[in-house]
Amino acid sequence: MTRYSRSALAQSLLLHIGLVWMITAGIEFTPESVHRPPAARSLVKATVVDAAAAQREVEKLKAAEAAKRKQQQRKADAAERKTRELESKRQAEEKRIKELQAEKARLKKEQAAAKNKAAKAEAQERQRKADVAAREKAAAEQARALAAEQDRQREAAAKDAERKRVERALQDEIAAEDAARAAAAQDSADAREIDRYVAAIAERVRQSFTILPGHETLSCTLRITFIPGGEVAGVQVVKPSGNDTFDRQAENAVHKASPLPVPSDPRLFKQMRSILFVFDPQ
Amino acid sequence: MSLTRNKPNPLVRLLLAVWLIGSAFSSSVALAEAELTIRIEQGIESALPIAVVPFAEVGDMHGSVDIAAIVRANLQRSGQFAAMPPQDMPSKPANFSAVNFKDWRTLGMENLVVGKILSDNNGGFVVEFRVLDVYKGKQLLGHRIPSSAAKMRLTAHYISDLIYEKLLGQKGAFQTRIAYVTVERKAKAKAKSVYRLQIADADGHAAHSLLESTEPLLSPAWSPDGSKLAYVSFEARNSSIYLQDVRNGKREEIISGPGINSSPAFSPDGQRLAVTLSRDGDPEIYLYNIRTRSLSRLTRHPAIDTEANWAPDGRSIVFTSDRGGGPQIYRVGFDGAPPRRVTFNMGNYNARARHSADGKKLAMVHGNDSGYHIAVLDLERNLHEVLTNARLDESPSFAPNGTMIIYATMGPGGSELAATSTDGRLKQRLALQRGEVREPAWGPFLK
Amino acid sequence: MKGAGIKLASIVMAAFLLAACSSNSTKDDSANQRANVEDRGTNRDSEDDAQAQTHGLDDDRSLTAEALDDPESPLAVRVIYFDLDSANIRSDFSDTVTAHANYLAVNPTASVTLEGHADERGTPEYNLALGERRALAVRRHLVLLGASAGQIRTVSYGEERPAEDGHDEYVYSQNRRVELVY
Repeated sequence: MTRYSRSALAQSLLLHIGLVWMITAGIEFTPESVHRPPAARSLVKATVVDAAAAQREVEKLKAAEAAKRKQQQRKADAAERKTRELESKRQAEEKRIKELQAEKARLKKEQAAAKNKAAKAEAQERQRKADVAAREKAAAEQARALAAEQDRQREAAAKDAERKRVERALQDEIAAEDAARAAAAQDSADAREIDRYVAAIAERVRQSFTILPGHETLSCTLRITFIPGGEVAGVQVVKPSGNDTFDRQAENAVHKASPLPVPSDPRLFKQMRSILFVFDPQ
Repeated sequence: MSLTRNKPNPLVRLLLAVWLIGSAFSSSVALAEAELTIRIEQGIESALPIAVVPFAEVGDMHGSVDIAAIVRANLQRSGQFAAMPPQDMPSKPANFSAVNFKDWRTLGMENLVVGKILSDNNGGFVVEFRVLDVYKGKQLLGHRIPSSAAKMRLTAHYISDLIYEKLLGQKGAFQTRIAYVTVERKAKAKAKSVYRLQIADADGHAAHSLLESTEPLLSPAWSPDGSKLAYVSFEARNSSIYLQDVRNGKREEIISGPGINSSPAFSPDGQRLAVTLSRDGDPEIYLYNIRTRSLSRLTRHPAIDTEANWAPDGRSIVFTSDRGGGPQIYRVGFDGAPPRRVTFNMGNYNARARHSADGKKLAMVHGNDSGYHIAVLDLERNLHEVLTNARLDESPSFAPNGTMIIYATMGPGGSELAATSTDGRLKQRLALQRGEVREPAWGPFLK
Repeated sequence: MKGAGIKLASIVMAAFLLAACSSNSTKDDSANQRANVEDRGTNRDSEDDAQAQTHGLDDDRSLTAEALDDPESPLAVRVIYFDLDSANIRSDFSDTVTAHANYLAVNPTASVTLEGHADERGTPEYNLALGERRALAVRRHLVLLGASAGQIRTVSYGEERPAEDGHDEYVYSQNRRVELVY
């Protein structure tokens, strides 16, 4: 159902009302209508008159009536003409309304078409943008892939170089280990020997170390040098405790324990010629 | 070189590395270039060996004393030295050149004291002594001291202090004196006991009485300059407080009256005494100004408040109070704030606290199921240690150098004096006098 | 308590009876008085029958003295013992305290020294205060029971004057005491 604009509807309505009013207002009604007061007739006097005068009176009345009838006919024709005019006006109005409606419909169509067009344009734009983005993404993707590929290649190259380095180092190490193993075999035998002497020395010094009350938290380091045979050659306070009495007790402990047990083998003694003693009662 | 053997797996390499690093720090040998290090983490807790060789004597020794013997006894009694008996000495040198260091080294005798007493044949003496480091073969200390017959014991104590300070790095207390009360209970029933207030050297010798009475004596207290003693005497048929000059013996009754008048304690500036008076109804601590003779009250509580002792900074007093039920130690300042309890988690009986000279410790009588013992409370760490374990020990008093505490203990013949090192490592009985000896008070350093 | 009331009443009554007739003269005076009485008697008219009652002054004095010296009377108990760390007067001493209170009440010129003591355990100064606490407890009871404060002097010796030498529980129980010294 087509929708009329409100103003067009109102106008049409008014027009119709106007038409109807004009129609009903313009129609002359027959004497039967109660709206017309009866015509006042002159009183007939009861006198004898001549017949001619009477005839002339009747013909006057008939002529008058015929004239009236003509007048009424003319009025009716006029009314009909008016009606026909109104009708045609109404029809014209209707036509106009229809045209307005058609115009409106056309406008709507145009708007819709325009909207469509706009939507289409937007969609096209979006699509364009999407296409651009997609293209860019694809480009970035490509670049990333390229970079990753390059990294992989670099890594692979580095790994390869590392592998080669490790292999080389390993080869060096193995060579060194072989040599060290030979020396260590000799060293460990020496070390075990020296360990025994160290344990004996530590025990002797412990038994000679007097810890005075209040000295339990002190600590000092002495460097003692020995002559073959284990006698003390020299004492150097490398790290004093801050308490002269404590340091003296530490030194005296080494003195009291000497001559300390040291190896007679010169090769071994060389490693024990100078010893750091850390006095640190717990 | 091509790989012709298996690569060592990573675990073996790690272990190898650890072994290499570890051996550098342990007492086993590292690679040949590193210096050998030996850690000594234990020793013996013992006294220092010392040989005090009997001093050579030149001239008329009339009026002299055996200085070396006194020094030996002092050092031994301090608990910090093990003095070699003269009969064990390989030789008796009197000066440096006569010393054969090798002999002493063989004996492990690291400290040697040699000396000489020279008489002017007229009652005057000169004492020389040297302290020698046996292992270094060097003299550590040497002095020449003019003296006289009257002062020979004091000279020996002076030398003991010098040796103690040189070898231990701490001030010695051998020249100080102690005050105490002796009770001579008469054999005859009903015969009154004799009470004496005495002062002696810290080794108990040279005792002399300041007062003799047939009524009880209590609580001797030294003035900070060592010139006066305050004490309690019952000679007036009640407790009252006296002040007596140690040198000239003059004394004065300074506080008396109904109730208890007792427990005097000098302030560190010597101007006031804290005392216990019960004249107002129950025992309270009062402050007595010696010069103005005015009294002001310090505590206000219906419980027993007694046994006051000043902190060395003069800003507070500790005292015994049973306001909490049983006797505990409280501390009060002079700002009007109420006293605060000091002894917590220390049982039901803690009394008669005495500050050490540095103010960091309190010695006190601590009662528990096994009796009454001397305990020391470390105020900084709030830790206490019970030092003695006899049945009835009381009256602890710190030596002014804080290393020893003298106290009274119940022996077979009654009360006698004993001493313990403040760390509890060493205890000894001081068999000083016949009869009962009570309430020792260790005097201050002489000025 | 009832028994004590009757005792009290009877003692008081007796005391009043005696006090009514006491005088302050000594034994010698009483002889003189007797003499005086006798003299008075010879001066009288022989017909007059001497109705004057003589009351030996010795009687009431010696009665008073006997009360204090009488080994049977509770006043002979001069030491009150205490439990460890306590200044409470045990019920087995309440008769003693009452007797002494009554005696003091009745003899306002009499005075007593209460000496407080403690056993040797603990510190001497704290024990001095404990001894005083005990002496003051006895004093309170005496005053409550009728003695006046001015008659009572207290002194504490703490642990300084033990009644017995020794270090066992029995000796300690003997040393925790208050002595009433007249």
